[in-house]
Amino acid sequence: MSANLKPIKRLDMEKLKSRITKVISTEEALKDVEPMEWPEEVLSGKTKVIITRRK
Amino acid sequence: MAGRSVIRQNKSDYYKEEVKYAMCKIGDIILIERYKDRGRTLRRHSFVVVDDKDGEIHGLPYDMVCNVFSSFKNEEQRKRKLNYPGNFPIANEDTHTQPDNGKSGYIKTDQLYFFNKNKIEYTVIGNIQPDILELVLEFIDTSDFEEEAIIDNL
Repeated sequence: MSANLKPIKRLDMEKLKSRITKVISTEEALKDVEPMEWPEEVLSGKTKVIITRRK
Repeated sequence: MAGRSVIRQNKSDYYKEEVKYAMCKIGDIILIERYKDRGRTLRRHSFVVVDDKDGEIHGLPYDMVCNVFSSFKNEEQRKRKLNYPGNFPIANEDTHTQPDNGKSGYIKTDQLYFFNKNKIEYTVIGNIQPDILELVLEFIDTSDFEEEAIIDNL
């Protein structure tokens, strides 16, 4: 089996939920978040964003 | 209209746009076009899908969990943001677009956005390669910082 076909190890959501200490609104969560700006080609669907190996 | 995603495909000289019910998977990068019936318009933010299984939180069903993918306003903000333990850095060299957007950023893993795909509109704009996705998921799984939940889109 190719390495690329290796199944992704999923997050244990129940374990992760146990770390939740607060519920906040979308507006509050995004208030200090700078949106990533994408080229028009990405927004129009002509090309894709790919995050690949870190250098 | 809520509950639909826009999926666009490019096949060399053939451009097809189709609107269909939400289909996305872990590692996809999505752009939320519209949140659940919200009076005020929020800016369009990019998110990374970190879980795509159905679940329930506070008695509300969800079918997707995401982290927001953000950029930096300036160098000072970059230094400040990367001091937060939950922010996973993504260098510009790690992001491939044509043309290059020239932006570095981070995935804010200490906030979990629980979504019901039928109540938002989003576009799949790309994905994280499996090896990087594995690093992000391992980072979330093995860290012990507190998480905040965003559930008002359910």
